[in-house]
Amino acid sequence: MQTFDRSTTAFQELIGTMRQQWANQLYPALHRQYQAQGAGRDITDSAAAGALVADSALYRWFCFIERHYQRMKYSDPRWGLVVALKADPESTAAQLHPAVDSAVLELHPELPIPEYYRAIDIHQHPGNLVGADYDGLMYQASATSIHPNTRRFEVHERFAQLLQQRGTFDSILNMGCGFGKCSFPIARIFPQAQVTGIDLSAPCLRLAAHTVQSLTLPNVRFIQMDALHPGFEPGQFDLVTSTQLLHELPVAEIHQLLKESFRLLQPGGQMMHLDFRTHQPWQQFLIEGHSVRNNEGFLPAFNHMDIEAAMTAAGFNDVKVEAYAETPGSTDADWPFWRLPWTLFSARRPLDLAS
Amino acid sequence: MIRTDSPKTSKRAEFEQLFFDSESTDRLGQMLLVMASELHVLRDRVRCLEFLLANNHSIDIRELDHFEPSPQQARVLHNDRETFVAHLFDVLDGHAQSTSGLGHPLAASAPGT
Repeated sequence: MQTFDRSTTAFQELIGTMRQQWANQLYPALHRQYQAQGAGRDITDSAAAGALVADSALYRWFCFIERHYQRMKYSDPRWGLVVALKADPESTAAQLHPAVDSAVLELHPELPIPEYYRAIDIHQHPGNLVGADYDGLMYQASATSIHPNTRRFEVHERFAQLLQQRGTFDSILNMGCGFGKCSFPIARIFPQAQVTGIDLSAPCLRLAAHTVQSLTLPNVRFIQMDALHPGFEPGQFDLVTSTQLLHELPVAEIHQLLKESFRLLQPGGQMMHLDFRTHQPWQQFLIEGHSVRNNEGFLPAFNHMDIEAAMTAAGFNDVKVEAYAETPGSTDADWPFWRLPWTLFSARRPLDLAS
Repeated sequence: MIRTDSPKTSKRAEFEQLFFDSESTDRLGQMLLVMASELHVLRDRVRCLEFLLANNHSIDIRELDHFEPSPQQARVLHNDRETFVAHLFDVLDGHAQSTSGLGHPLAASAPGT
């Protein structure tokens, strides 16, 4: 992990605490206000849910803090992650350019970066993840405060455990692997499998390759590759996964990703993508607002698309869309704190469609 | 080598998201966040300094109230004040934003945006 000077550390810790209190103090108060306003009413859509709180002072501060704590985390001119990482280029270079075995890391600088990826500073990460060499370190540092009320990377460790419950796999593709936060627990839990992480972001992949050298995980490799146009042979994997990738794609690209997931799977192989979904009016109102405030421009369209039909159209069967608990109890009806509506999208390539 | 002339910027010429009734109120809110940050970092540093001083038995903490800075130290304090005020005023032009993509053709169909 990147270390910062005392002032930057104190500032980033403050941001993390703000995030925690926003989720555990402001959100419950806002939810209570919504419940009081909505008592006895038939609320059928997100607009009706939002109308109950939209003019309240509490809601405005809730939105304001959601927007600006994240902006400051990255872009504060004194202690934001951008200035902190730019201030110490030697340390950053030392972390990102170790001698890496070519069997662990394969970069393709000529890979075209799609327009949708450049168009938006997803979750307010300036320039997205392809703008500077230190983007992987910046995303890694930022990820410490993304999911309140979970242990660091608990989401991904639990996902790997869930995969283990669904089968035994030998060849696993982790799409949109970033700096490896999901690839590592998968590789750890399936030591007999070869795990391949692919991503558009060279800075993230360099960090992943650097990190894996200290983890004693000989069964994971990273390749710079577009998940929508992966250069693998058909049927090369028995499990295709991703976490938090689908909602960062426009709808047409999601269809393409499902099509590729199908092509890359062996007959009988499984696809499991972890992402977000809700059709509950209050949650939908929150997620639509979150998409604006946190620059998640494609999330609302993803939430609205008929993903089950899209998976079926891609050729899959056993199509399932299930709520996912990122930490114990979080999907319980009385969970009091703010959370993203984690959802598992899974399906299987039929045995009888072998190519 | 790491690029030092990174295209990254903390400010982009994009629209400003407003949550209150006027730009003035939103920017006042942002100044409050800056103030909170400055205060917290300062408190953290002072507390850490106290820990270090106490650990080293190197100072009688009462000396602080009678401290007179040297000219060089006074310049450091002056620079600190200027940096603090610049930080506080940084939000007032409304460009302390990141690229949301709102209005981009790829995201335009998204409801709620």
